[in-house]
Amino acid sequence: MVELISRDEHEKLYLQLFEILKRKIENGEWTSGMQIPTEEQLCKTFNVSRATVRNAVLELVRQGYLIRQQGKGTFVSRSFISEGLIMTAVFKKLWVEDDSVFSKEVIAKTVMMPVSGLSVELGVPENRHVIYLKVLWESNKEPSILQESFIPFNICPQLLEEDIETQSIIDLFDKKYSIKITSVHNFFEIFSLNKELAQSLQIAEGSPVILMTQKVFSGDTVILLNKFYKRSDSNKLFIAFQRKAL
Amino acid sequence: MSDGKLVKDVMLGIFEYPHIPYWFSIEQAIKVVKASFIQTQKHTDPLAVLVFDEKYNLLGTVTLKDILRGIEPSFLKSPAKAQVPEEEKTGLAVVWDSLFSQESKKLAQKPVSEIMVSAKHFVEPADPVTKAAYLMIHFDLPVLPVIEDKKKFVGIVRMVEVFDAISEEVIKE
Repeated sequence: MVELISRDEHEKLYLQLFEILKRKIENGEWTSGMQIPTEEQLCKTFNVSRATVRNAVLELVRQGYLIRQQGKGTFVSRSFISEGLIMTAVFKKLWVEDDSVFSKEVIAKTVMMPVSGLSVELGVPENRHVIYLKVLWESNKEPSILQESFIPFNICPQLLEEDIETQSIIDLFDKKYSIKITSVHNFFEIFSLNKELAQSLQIAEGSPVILMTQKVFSGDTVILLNKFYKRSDSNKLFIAFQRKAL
Repeated sequence: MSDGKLVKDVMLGIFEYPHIPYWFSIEQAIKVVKASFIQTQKHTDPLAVLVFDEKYNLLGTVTLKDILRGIEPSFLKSPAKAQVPEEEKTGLAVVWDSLFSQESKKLAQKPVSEIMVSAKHFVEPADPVTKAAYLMIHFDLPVLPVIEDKKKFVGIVRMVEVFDAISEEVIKE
């Protein structure tokens, strides 16, 4: 069966095509080692431009589903999960977004400009508006984690109206606004807090915290940048990876 | 000016203007101004940055003049009832130059909430442009927020558009 691309959805065409082709690999319609149709054939089948096909295929190559062989063509990977910790994951709730331990309080939800390095991290020009969220995660009524989130305004202007105290941003993106998350990069470092952030966490200025910077991508676009500052307390960080059956 | 223009005919959308929260420093505000106006040369005077609180309510505006006033060394500020002749006052400005890197840099770390002009005067989209002009003249405001139904912040009117609309009426034959 040929799946069709929906032109009504806001989602970028190449991401839709990426999902369709990925499913072909996952459900075995395209078997491992098989050469995939040429760009031209894919353009015709899905009635999209060459650029759309190229972007979708490149993303599949980047994520290890396909392999390009110079002068031969593009093939389905024999084992499409690459070495290391790149695995197929479900981006439902991310890290602290597990309400069982933490209660959350939204301290700020406003708009700012991404100056002083933020524009580089987000990959947007400094004169583009960014939605800024600040959330305090408490466990046993003690502040444990401070979250700062930055979302390019044009990605989801409606987010300003949404209740993010009871809803997960990831869920809103995924289910309500059809913004498909394709990958998440996490960076860890030791960080010392400035006065303002330290106050929110009720610890002394300059105290060391663990900073996890999380970049959430849809294709090559950063749609959400999270900074989680975790103070030293009885809670541990826990991230589980589960290997999907091949 | 019963058939004259209304505020909604001349206002600009709020996203034409950069937004910052009140806890940004003057230095950060300067970077915003440089990134948003000066590089792109998209806007003409008067330039303004909109200042919001944590709940995204408009608190005020910051113009280039407010920024310069904010980083002006304190000893240059004339006392309320200055007895100094005008020319001597401007003479002091030379001193600013030599101390620029020290005191102004320090002053630029102050939050913008200390230098912004609080949003106290508003117009509604259906108000005549003349009302905007009146407020601008009497309260010395280069920009004016437009508020719909007394709470929703929907736009900004600038003096240049107000001038344009009113002057057109005046020179019309």
